[in-house]
Amino acid sequence: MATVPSTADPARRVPWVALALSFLSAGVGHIYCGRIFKGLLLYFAWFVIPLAALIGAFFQASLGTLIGLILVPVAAVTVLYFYAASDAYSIAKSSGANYQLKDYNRPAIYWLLILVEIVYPVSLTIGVREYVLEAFVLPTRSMSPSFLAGDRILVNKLASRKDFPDRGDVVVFRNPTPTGGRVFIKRVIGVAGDRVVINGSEIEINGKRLERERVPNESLDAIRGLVDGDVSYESNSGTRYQVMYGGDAPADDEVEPTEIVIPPRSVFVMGDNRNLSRDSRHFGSIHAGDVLGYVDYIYWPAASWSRFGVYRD
Amino acid sequence: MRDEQEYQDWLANKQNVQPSIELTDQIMDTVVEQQVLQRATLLLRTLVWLERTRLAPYMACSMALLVGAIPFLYLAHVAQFIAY
Repeated sequence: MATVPSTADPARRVPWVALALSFLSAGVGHIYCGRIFKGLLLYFAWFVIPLAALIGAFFQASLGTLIGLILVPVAAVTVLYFYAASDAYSIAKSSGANYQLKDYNRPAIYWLLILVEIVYPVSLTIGVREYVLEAFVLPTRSMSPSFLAGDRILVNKLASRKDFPDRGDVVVFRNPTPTGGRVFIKRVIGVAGDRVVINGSEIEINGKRLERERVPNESLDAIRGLVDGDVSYESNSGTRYQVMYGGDAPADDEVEPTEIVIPPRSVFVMGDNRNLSRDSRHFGSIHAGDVLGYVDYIYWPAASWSRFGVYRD
Repeated sequence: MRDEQEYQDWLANKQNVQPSIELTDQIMDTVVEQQVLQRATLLLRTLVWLERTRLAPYMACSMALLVGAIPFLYLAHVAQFIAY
């Protein structure tokens, strides 16, 4: 069996110790090897992820923002983590026994840095998830064909604090019913003060019927096999989105005709898969304060990567 | 016959003698000490063996990687790639 070099000399920089310290916390391996500035840069690299996500949440949703300010920083920090480990190992190997101990070469400092490094990225991630961007995976088909079961989406929570939901917006809100998941995702059909009349598949907002236009089959190639009903474009106050009727869901006729005037600071929401969605037709309008955020991105589509990026109707 | 009787009496006397409690405690303490010593020696020998082989660095680095990966694993959980 081969043997490892002796660690008896306290000044000697042992490569595997530098590697282990760097694995524990990027940058600490460099500090162990006397490269404090590079070490601190690598140590605080984790700040890039929440900072970039925060900046990205303020920008208008775009593919550039998703890639440049959300996905690239995560990938970059992951790459930097392994680079830091490899670099610390190389530095320790090259310095070997010719090393002058620095003031900060103390185990207590290493352990403190490691402890903080494990806690602060997790805390920042919790903060971003709570107040800036939250990821969800869709468990049901209630929003097909716009969102498919298994889609992973990013919800912008900053927007919900500055705007009131508008017709056509896709929102995530607290589940108002005692059953089901913690949150629901639906589309806003009407806003406060609107008079909504629903009779079968016909929807009227303030006396104006929502027009529908059948989506050509060619446009559904990417999700063929995952939609089983009639897909149409529905126009509502200048926004156009896809909705689906029919398929293996119960017929619309089974839903009682609904007429409602939406109360102040409330919105009326519906799933795009109209026959398969439990929404405001069942539990009534939801308060705008229960809206957690707006869906900006599909960052991991369930089918066809052509759907990756900004959610567009 | 007499010798046999004397022998049986002697044996009965000896069997009736209760061992000293202090002596029992001393023996049991020694046994426990020996067991602890054996375990410590085994641990020490294992550590020396690990130190002399390449296993120690590999084990330390693997453990470090496991701990250092916690923030990344949490991020993967938040991104809905890992459920627990």
